[in-house]
Amino acid sequence: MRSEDEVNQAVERYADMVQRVCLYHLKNQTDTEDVFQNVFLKYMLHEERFLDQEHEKAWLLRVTINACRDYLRNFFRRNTVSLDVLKEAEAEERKDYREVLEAVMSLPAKYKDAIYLHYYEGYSAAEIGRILGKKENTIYSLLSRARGMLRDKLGGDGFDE
Amino acid sequence: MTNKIQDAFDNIKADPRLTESTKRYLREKRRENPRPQHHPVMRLAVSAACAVFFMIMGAFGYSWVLEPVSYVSIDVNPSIELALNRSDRVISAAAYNTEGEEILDGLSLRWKKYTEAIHTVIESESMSVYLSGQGELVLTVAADEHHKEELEEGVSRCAGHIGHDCHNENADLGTVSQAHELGLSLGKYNACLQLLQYDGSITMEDCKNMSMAEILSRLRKFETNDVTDDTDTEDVTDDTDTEDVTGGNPIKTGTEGSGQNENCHNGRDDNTPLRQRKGHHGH
Repeated sequence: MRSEDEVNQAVERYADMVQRVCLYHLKNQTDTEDVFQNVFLKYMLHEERFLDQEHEKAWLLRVTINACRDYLRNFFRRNTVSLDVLKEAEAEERKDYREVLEAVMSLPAKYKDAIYLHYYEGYSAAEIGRILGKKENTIYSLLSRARGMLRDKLGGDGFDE
Repeated sequence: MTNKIQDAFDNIKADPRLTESTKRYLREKRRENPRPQHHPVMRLAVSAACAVFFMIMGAFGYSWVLEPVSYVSIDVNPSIELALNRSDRVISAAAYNTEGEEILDGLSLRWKKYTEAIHTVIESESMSVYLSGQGELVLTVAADEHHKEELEEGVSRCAGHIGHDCHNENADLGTVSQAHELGLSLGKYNACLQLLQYDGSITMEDCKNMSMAEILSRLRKFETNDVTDDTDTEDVTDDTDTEDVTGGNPIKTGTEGSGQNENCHNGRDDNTPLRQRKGHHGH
C-alpha cells in the first residue's frame, strides 16, 4: 500500500486528468465521482514502483479508461446517458467548447480514447497503442475514422494528423 | 480544431471538493484495511531469504532425489550397474559391455525400487540366454554407511529369491570410481581385485578382457586350493603353537577361528580378507 503522502500527491497531480477521462466516458458527475475514487483506491493499493512520472501517468490513464468501461458494462448505467456535467458547467463554458466536447463525447468509446490521448495528452499512435493494448496501425485507423466523424459533426474545419 | 479540443478539455477540472472527499475516502479505506508498509530494504531481505530458502530446498531435493549414494552391480557376463538415490530408487542404469546394453535396451528401470529393478533385469528375455547355462549371477553392492546394512540385506534376500546360481558381494564405495575409470562395472572390478590378490601374474588389463565367467572360474580354483591349504595350515598351526619365552603367551600364526586371513598363500604379505563374500545361493 502506498503512503498517504504519495497518494495525496497523485490525487493533486492527476485529478483533472482522471476527471476528464471519466467525464467523456460517463457523462454524469455521480458516476464520475464513483470511478474517480476507485481509480485512486487502485493507485493506493498498487505496490509496484513506477519507473518515472510518465509511466505513472500512463498507468493511471489505462486504469481510468478500464474502470470507466467496466462501469459502463453495467446494463442500467449503459442505458442512462446524461450530459449533466455539461449542463452544470454550461454557465462557465463557451458554447463552442461545449459543442466540441459534446461531439467528442458522442463518439464510440474507442474513438474517444484515441482522440483524447492524441489531441489532448499529446501521445503518439505507438504510445496510445501501448496504453490501450492495441496495435499502432489500429490507433491510426481509429484516429482517422474519429477525425472523419468529428468533421461530420462539427463542420469542415480540418483536424491535423 | 486541435486547439479547440485542447481548450475544451482544459476547461474540465476536478472539483476541489471531489479531490478532498477522495483523500478522505482513501484515508478511511486505509484505516479499514491497514496493511503493513514494508520498507524496500526489508522487502529485498525477505525476497533474498526466500531465494536462499528455495535454493537450499532445491539442493536438498537434488541430493535426496538425484544424487547417487549407492550402487548395485549385476554381472553374469553382461555387466549392468544401478545407481541408487537415498530412497534406494534407481536413478540411472549403465551397461558396461555390449551384452549389458542389449539387456538394458527397452527396459525402464528409473525410479524403480532396487529390488524390483534387479528382478526386472534378471527376468528380462535377453538375460535369460545368459542364465540358462552355467552362467553365475553376481550381485555386488557398494553403499554408504547409512544404507550399507539395509541394502546388503536387501540384495542378499534378492539373491536368495533368484532361481539361478547367484551370490552377492559387498564392495567398498570408494572402489566405484576406480571401477568406472577403468570402464568396468563395480561387480566385475571387485571380482578382478579378488583374482589379482590370488594371482600376481595377471594384470588388471588382462582381467578386464576376461569374461565374468572366466574370472569366477579362476577364483573358484584358487578358493578350492585355499580351502585345502587352509585345512593343512590349520593342522600345522595347531601343531606349532609356541610359548612366548618372555611373556608365556601362546602365539598363533593366523587369526583364530576366522580362516579368512589364512587365504594369504600366494606370496602376499598383507592380511586383508581376500573375499568379502556374504552369501551364495545355488539352485
